Amino acid sequence: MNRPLKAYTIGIAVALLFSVWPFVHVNALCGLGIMLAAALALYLQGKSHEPTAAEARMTGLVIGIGTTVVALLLNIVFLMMGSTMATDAIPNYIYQFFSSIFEGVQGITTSDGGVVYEAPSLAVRFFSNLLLNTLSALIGAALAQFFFFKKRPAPPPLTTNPQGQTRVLDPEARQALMQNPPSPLPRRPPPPEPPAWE
Amino acid sequence: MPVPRPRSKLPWVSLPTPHLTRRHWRGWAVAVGLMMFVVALASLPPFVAGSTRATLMAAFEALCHQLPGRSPQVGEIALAVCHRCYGLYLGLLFGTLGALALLRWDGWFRNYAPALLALTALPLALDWGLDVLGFWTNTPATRTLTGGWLGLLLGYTFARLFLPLPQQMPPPSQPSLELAQ
Repeated sequence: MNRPLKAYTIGIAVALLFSVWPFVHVNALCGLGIMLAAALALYLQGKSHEPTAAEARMTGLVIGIGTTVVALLLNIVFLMMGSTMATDAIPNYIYQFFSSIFEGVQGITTSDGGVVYEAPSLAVRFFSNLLLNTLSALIGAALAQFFFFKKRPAPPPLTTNPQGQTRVLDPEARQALMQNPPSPLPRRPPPPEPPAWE
Repeated sequence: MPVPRPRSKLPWVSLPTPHLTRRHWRGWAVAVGLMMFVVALASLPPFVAGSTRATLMAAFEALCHQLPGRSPQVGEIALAVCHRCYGLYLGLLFGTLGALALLRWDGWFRNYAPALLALTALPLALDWGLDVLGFWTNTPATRTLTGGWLGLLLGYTFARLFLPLPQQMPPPSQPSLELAQ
C-alpha cells in the first residue's frame, strides 16, 4: 500500500472512530474529529516531503467524502440488520446505534421550542454530511499544512534549462534590465552628501 | 538599476506584494463560493417553509447543539447553528474573503502559526471555559465575536488550499548577468 492510500485509510478509520462512543465527545459538537483525521492523514503523507496545497486539498476531499460514503455503507448494513436508526446523523450514527443499545432507542422526532422537526431521509443526511464533512476535513488539512510543515526555502530567482542558459521570467524586469544593464563590476558606494550651508 | 518592487506600508513586515494571477482569483472565488454557500445554508431556516427548514436544521444537527436560546433568531425562528458556530462561519467567510490581501504575509503567518492559533483560539476558550467555571457569563455577542475571531484564521488557512502559495508561484525576477552581457 503506497503512502497516500495508507494515510487516507488511517484517516478515514480515525474519523469513523470519532463517531463511536465515547470518542464522539472529542468532536465537541463540531467537526473536530474529522479535522483531526484529515490533519493526521496529511501528517502521515508529509514525512518525506512538505505536502503542497494540492495534496492537502486532495487529502481533505478524500477524507471528507470517504468518511461519509463509508458511514453511509455502514448505515445501510445496519438498516439491513433491522435497525430503525437510519435517520440519525451519519457522523454520529455509529454512536447512536450503540447508544441505542445502552440507553434505549431514541425517538426519530424531537420537540424543540414547540417546533417538531421531522426526521430527514437518509439521502438528506448523506448529502448534508457530504458537504459539512468535506468542509471540516478541508479545514483540518489546511490547518495541518499551515502548522506542521515548515516553509521551504525560496526557489532560485532565475530558471536555468538543461543547456545552462538562464532567463528572467518577468517581462517588466527584462525591459528594465535592457534599459539599464547592471555592471559586472561591484557597485561603487554613493558619494557622501556635501555639508549643508551654514 | 534594481527593479523597484511594491513594498508593504507596514514597517515590521516589508514584503513584496505577490503578483495575483488568474489562478489566484479562480481559487479565491472557489473558496469564497464554498463559504458563502455554507453561511447561506446556516442562515436560511427562518426564511423557508417547514419541511425545508427541518432539512436544513437536520443538516447542521451533527455540528451544533442548535439550542434555540443560544442561537441567533430571526422572527423568533432560530438559525441552523448557535451564536458561536455562526460567528465561526462568518469568520471563515471573512477570512476567506481577505485571503488575497493577506497572502503577502503568508511566510510571516507560518513562522508564527502556533502563536496565531493561540491568539485566535484563546478568547473562545476563555469565553467558554470561564463561563463553565462560573467566573464569567458569556453573551451572544461574546460568543459570536470569539467564534468569528477564530474563524478568521481558519478562513485564511482554508483559502490557502485553493491559492498558489508564494513558494509555488514563479520566482521573483532579478537582473541576470548573462542577459546583460
